[in-house]
Amino acid sequence: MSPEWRLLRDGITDAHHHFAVEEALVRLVDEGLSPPTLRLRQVRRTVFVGVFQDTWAEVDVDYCREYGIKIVRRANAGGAVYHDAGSFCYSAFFPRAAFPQSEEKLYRLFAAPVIRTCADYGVTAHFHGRNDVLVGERKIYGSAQIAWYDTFVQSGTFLVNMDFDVMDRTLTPPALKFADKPARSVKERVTSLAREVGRELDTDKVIERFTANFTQVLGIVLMPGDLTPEERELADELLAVKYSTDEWNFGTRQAYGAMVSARAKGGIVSLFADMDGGTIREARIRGDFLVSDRATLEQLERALAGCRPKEAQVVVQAAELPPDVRETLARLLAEVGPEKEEAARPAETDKDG
Amino acid sequence: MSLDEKVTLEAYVARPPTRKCRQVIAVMEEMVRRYPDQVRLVVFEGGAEWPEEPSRALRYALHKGSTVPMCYVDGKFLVGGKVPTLDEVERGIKSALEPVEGR
Repeated sequence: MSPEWRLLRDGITDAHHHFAVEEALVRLVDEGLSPPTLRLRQVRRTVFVGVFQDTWAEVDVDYCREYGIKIVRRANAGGAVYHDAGSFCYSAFFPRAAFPQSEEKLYRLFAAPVIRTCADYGVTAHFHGRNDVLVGERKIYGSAQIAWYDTFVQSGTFLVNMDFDVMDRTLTPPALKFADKPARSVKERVTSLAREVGRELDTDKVIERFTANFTQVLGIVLMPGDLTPEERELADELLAVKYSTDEWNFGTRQAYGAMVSARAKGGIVSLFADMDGGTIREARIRGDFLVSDRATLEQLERALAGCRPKEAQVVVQAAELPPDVRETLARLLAEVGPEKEEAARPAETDKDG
Repeated sequence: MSLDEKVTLEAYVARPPTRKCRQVIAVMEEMVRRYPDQVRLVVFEGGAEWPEEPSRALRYALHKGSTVPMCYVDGKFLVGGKVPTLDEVERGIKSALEPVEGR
């Protein structure tokens, strides 16, 4: 007899509330208080930011605020993504022991219903890399996992109908992210089922197909259900203390006048600087390069305050950083100055217009 | 033994911590009680500002994906996805202390 899971379509479209429910579910499934669950969800226009990303660097926050697009940080890693109700996401919450395969194999397993659903619409899709499904060279589905004690969460986003222009406008990843890819923007890198089919699709019908394929691939039975009172109560608590707070969604970083990035051997290095005339008032160094000691970076950030960029380059050269990061940072400092800061502001105004 | 020479225990847990996360922290805190002069504990809560820079190994793991919890001893992976036992952590600490004591 096939294992029975709950099929949950709670209709929550607010992204903050949505993530609070997600975390409530993983916590309660792990405590044995909630059953294994497939949750299908659509959200209003929202940018989801990865748990370790710098929201201000990855998202056009001003644009999102102006057009009522929410920004919310999700609990797992990965890049910023734009969502609207034209697409849908799923999350599967289950005891890890139910599917003991490796995480790599689980990525493939859970991608299979997406590939089958594409095939149902005459679109050939294939699994790619670690956790994506592509049509040709364009991504139509991305996924993520959370291992939470004895529970596992596999989530994915399937692009069905998508407003690519809004998506492109909301996300501001460093151009360096595309340096080694044929696509030059997010818009060029992704596709939707509607785009591939050549017409707008009824998202609900696509969800029905996906659900049928999901049960076949996983070998489970889905029984429609609702959130329990315990799940609602915990979700409300998590919403209040975490997911609705600016601290969680934005971190503590303020807007900086200039932001420059470059790729070092060890990863992307970003320098955020607030300038006071020709002097650095405040600097922040970020990126995905590895440093063994955060204190070194903080010390350097403090040392840069009050320096002119050329003086700051000397300070950086003496810092205890990997040589490639040091060199890259020194180069970036040459690009920071009052001219850079001034140049950045009108350009943003023009884009909004 | 100075602060810099202490073995660092790192616990990555959920925010706010769950019942199991509190067990993880309790196990680690017990080790600090047993080895007050040799061990220190740093707790990282998912999504919160880091109290200090994580070890290179933990930082790498955090960027690779999400596992709750993750425990490291002296920058070396100890356990992930479960509450560590006192014995597991103590073995990790002893292993980390061995070369120091042998100097």
